[in-house]
Amino acid sequence: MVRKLLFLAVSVTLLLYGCKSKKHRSSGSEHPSVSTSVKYARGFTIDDFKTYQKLTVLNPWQKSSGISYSYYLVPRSQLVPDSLKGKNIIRTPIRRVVCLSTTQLGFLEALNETSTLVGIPDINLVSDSLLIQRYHENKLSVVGYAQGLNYELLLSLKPDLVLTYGVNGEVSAQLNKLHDLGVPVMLVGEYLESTALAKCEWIKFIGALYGKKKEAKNWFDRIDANYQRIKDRVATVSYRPKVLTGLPWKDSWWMAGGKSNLANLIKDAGGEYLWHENTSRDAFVVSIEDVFIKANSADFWINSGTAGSMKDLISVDSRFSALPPVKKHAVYNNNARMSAGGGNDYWEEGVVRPDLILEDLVRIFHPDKATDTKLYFYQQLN
Amino acid sequence: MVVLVVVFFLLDLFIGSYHISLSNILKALFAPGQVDSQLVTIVRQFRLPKALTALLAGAALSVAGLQMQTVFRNPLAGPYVLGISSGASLGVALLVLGAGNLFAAGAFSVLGAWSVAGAAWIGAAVILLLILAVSARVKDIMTILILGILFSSATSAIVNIMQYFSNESMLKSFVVWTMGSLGSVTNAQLHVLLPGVLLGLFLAIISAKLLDAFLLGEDYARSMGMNVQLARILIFISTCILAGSITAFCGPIGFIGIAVPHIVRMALKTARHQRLIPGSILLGSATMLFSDIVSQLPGSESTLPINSVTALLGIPVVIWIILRNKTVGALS
Repeated sequence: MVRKLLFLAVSVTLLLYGCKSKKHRSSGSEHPSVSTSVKYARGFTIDDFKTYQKLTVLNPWQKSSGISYSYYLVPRSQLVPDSLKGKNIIRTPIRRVVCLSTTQLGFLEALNETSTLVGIPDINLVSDSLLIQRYHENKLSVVGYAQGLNYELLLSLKPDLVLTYGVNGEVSAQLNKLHDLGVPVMLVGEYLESTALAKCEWIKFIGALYGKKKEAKNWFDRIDANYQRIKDRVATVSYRPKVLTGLPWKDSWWMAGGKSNLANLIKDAGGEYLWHENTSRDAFVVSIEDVFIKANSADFWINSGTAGSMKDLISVDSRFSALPPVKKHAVYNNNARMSAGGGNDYWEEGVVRPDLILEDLVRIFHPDKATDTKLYFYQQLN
Repeated sequence: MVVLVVVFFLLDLFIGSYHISLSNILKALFAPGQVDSQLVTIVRQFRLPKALTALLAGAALSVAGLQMQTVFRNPLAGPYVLGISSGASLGVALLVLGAGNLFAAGAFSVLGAWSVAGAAWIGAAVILLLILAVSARVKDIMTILILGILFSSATSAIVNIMQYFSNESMLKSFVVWTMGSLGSVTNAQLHVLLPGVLLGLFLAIISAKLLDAFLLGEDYARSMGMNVQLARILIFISTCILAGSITAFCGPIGFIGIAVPHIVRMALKTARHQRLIPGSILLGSATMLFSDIVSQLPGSESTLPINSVTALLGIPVVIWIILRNKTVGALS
């Protein structure tokens, strides 16, 4: 009897063990062994498998839900597993990339991969001097904006990957066209993240494309720690100054949503956005009259469009001179670092250095809590 | 009619997202010491200029539309039939989409209110010069109408090309301009707009007899001793000043200029411009004030662009007129 039981126990154990090892032996296992952890970003996930990585982009355009695109990153040194045949495969590290939004450039600069950039939509919007240099050496081409894309030029550049973005669902037409042309395309939705740190975290996404997982993680962890340190400094302030943002066009003022990136930055910097009670992530219209009423209690005005001086600001609407921030000279704009062609570094380097943006804002709202006396991305309007 | 205008004017002052009682409004206007200074600012700097602009825009566009309908003997003609709004939009497009692209960093004043108005005005003036040049050589008025429409199409095509090559923020600025806005005209700008409109209206009033003659046909008018070329020039200039000034400061606003003259003609039952012009001024102002009131969406925090409101109000009216009269060709 005991011998029978023993025999049963041993055979069952052997059977189970056999099953387990069978799983390990199959190529392209069903379940990832480890997921690169994503702390804040909601727009992507990374799954690490033994011989490849799976990148998934989620809801890459405004008001989308339930949409996802998956890409499989296979290093050039490996063979493409059979289980991935027919899927979106990208060989890493990528050597030639076209970025259709200048907000993606910050990641390349942080990862030291600007030499792989071969195409951008418009040279005027670029801030980084290395990239401008590349353009003048004819190593970087201008391929046009999303709606007016120069497909022939794009093809002739032989990119390993085209990074694009979608403002609405119509982007799928462009994706299909590029797909038909045999150009690997990837939708990047970093601009949809509602916090600056989540946006910065996309460096892990871009890092995976270059096989620079560790460098990306190190960069992000460093920035994350900096950001938290700065945020903690102002977490317990007694007074939160009220902040106005934006600039109207004619008599409609597009105001950033209460749950938008900018609103969150203001909150983290110890300020109170005048429309902080608004619950949308996207911008909404307020009549100029309403803005004036609310802004009567504003202490600061930031991100005032493209205004470079008080004169510029008043020239848009002379009634601004009655606003408290204008009277107190408390207007600050994020255009201190502009290139000759009109590119704003806030949208380039700023994407990967949200800690510098936060430090600037703390310097503005709570100068007694700031460690640095000089502003980086921001300037006071005179 | 005058009562209607006054009522709508006061109503327009009254309606806005911030609730201000009528007595407070009157105090803010005439006895500012008695009211909170913020209230005074809102009433004087925002509500008042907007209501005045609506008044002027309604009057100017209606009279311009009336003139165009008479000169071209075409019931669907409006103030923009000479291509004035297209010329203005080309001017603004060149500024916002063109210069904006080239000199983005340095020339912020590209977006300043006066620059936009100036660009729009120059665009409209160029079109006017073209039309005048053509009108001096061409006898048939229908040819001028067709040329005006073709100029419009040409400028629209150029504007489309510029839009195609622009980035999102530039495009947005331009598109918002085309939606029209009454609320962005400040008191300082009114100092330019008011004399402009008054001049245009004055020119229209003194051409009342000439306009009557146009209705009977240009050959008949010529036989009566009228200098048709000179009359055309006078009327075109008046139209351009009226429509051009409004478009420069408020963007293109449609349908008022087409619908209002028809209603006035029906209400006053006359073809004499000495009666029609004042009628258009009053009804035009009232209609525009009403449109502005509607666009404020009383009871809600958001607003509508003025162009949409005038279209939604104007189109049913035009349809009703066409169906009722059946013979739209009869303008008398």
